[in-house]
Amino acid sequence: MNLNGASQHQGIVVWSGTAAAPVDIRKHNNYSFTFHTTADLAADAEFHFQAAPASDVDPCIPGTFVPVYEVLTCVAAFVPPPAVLPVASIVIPAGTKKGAICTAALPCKPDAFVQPVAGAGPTASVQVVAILSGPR
Amino acid sequence: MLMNTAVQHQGIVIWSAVPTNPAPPVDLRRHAGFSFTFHVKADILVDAVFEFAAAPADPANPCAPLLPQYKVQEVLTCTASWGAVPMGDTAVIIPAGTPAGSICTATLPCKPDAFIQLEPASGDTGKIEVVVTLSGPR
Repeated sequence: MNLNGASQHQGIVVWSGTAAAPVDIRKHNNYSFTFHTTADLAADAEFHFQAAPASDVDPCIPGTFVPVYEVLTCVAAFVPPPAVLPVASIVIPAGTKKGAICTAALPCKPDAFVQPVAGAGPTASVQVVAILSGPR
Repeated sequence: MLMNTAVQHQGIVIWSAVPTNPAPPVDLRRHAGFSFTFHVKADILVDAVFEFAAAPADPANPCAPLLPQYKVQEVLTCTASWGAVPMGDTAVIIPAGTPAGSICTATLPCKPDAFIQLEPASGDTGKIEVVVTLSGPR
């Protein structure tokens, strides 16, 4: 018997290859991303993330987006962290074949809304889906 | 601490509202479960009906479906009323009146074959993005 896993793990397109779509993560316990390559990658495809609070005039839409910075976790090497952490980024490496699937997540919820943005490389050859887990 | 749930629940775009980006067939063989998220991008004025096609692997290329695909038939489960009979082709309907931004989820009770593909049947299917969640990679 196949169960409806999507009821607890909804998939929403957040990067079509050309444009980002912010996703509201307030009503979910967890979120993560699937990166699906739609063509062979000849160079590293780098994505950054932005986050925003809800808009003051309409809580259903995001306010002003700001970059999401890297958050170190307990699995990081024991060295003094830099004074200013770099922006959070996901790199799909050069050589990745068409049809490949990579997954990633950020360790925290940075704000009410989050969206990936193109950093560098052939990001147009990647579709990104946010998996929103545990609706509450 | 957030966990990477996408490791066990990968999301793949199976139907885009953009007509030039048709639904690709999805390989179900390496996943324990599959299900669908229907994200409504504009108000639905006419029932949007989706059907499903399935196919075994092509013996000449096991990474591709054997064409032509066939329509997936409805399968009754134990929650069906006593005496109910299947309706024929399996369908998912996003009803007229559904507002933009709505999220609906659905699945099929069985794996019909190695590959499955979503097919727009009628109505406002062009206003909906569909993602298949592939659960439990194995």
